[in-house]
Amino acid sequence: MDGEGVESLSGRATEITEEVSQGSYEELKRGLECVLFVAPRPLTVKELSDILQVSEKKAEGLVIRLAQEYRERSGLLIVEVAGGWRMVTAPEYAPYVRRVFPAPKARLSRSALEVLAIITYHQPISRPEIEALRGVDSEGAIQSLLEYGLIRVVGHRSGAGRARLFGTTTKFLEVFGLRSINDLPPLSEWQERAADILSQRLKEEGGDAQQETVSPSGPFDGQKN
Amino acid sequence: MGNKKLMTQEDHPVSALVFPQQPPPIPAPFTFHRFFVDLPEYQGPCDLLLWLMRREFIEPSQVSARQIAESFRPKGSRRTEQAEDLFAIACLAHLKSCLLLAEESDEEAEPETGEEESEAVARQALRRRGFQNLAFRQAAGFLQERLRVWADALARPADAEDGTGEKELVLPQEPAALLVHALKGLLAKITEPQVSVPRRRWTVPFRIRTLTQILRFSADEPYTFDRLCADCQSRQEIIITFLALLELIRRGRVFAWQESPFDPIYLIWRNQ
Repeated sequence: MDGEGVESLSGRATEITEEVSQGSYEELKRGLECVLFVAPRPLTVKELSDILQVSEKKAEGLVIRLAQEYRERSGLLIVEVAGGWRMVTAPEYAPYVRRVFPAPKARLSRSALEVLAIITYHQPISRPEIEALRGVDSEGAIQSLLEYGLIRVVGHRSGAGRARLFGTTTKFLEVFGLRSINDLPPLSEWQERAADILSQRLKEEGGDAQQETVSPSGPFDGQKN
Repeated sequence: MGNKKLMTQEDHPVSALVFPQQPPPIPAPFTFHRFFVDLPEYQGPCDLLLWLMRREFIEPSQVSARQIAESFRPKGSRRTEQAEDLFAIACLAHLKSCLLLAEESDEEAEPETGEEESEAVARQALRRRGFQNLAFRQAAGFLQERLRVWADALARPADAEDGTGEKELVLPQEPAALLVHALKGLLAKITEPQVSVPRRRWTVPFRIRTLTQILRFSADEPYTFDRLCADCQSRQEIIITFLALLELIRRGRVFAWQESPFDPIYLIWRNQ
């Protein structure tokens, strides 16, 4: 599982928790463990500070330090997702966990993932715009993403038809383990990869790769939102 | 009306043309022997093929447009049939061109005019779309990998009751439903203030007195029963008014009159 490395977490933790004394830290740490264990959703630093009755800075320091400790010694992890912190089982122990809790694995079709990627990078976006990008009917994929709760209607386009505008949800961040949308690689990275693949294809077909440079200009050229 | 057709892979006339040389792995929907499709219009196997391609059951790159075009050419006996075949083949070519990039480069192309120029613009648009498609496929692959990894990181189910959790607002799509949603939100927020209103205590004798006063001084303009009950605030007060009115009629002080069935009932004070 990717995310912040142990070293960077350690750096953030020592920066922030200098003021917390050892005895107080132990008590707060145990309280924090309990809170994260029972929480059914990610808890923000603000919520943690309210619960622990400490400043947000201290709460953040504590949770980062605890996350670091868990990463080093436990089968559980404390991770930052969807703008908050939550306790999860480490993926490498999933086979054991699934014997007790055989939750079905989330499966999304290729087309649903493509639509989700488009919505993620261009939200808010309407169905006609998605279909213009893909060139195929996307209603089914949008419907299943809505049913999974990964996208939602965030508004309507002004003008004729008042097309629904779609955006991603907090559940999307949770399911994909993202702190925020900004955690995703920028769209330009995928465009560079696409350009590389096209160049490679053209080389294989005997064409001149240099001639076929494709610029992503147009209505959906893309800067990540 | 949609035409329901029950197709099998074997008896499908297009299936032989879709994979002419080496059949690729069979996509998931075709692993069943029977596959239901609901076409808005069915005039021939090309409609079915286009339907399947648009819904991504068949990869356009695996379909040979040339062979399909050749197979249809001699069949169209009438011009309309030939036109329909041509249209279907054009749609097929369009779908394929969405995925396949044009080979010519704009930079080295000769200066173009008129139709050639519009073709070049269309080609550039197709190329851009193909490029964007490829970029989003890369992004989709990244999401798929993240989903695979994070599906193994299990957390306490999010739908567990926590009492304090803020549920994400999912807006319904209809304007009326939006309004109802907003109304429910407002009603949930508002706490009714405790107001105590002293209750009026009407009795039949009291109401007889008030009705006498009302009807006596409106002899020129007859009252209706509805108008008489206009100041009633409860069912009980209407019943009391009704009983008082019956008593006044019994005593011969009030005369009730209706012009025709379902018309208003007029009440007239009788001076004795």
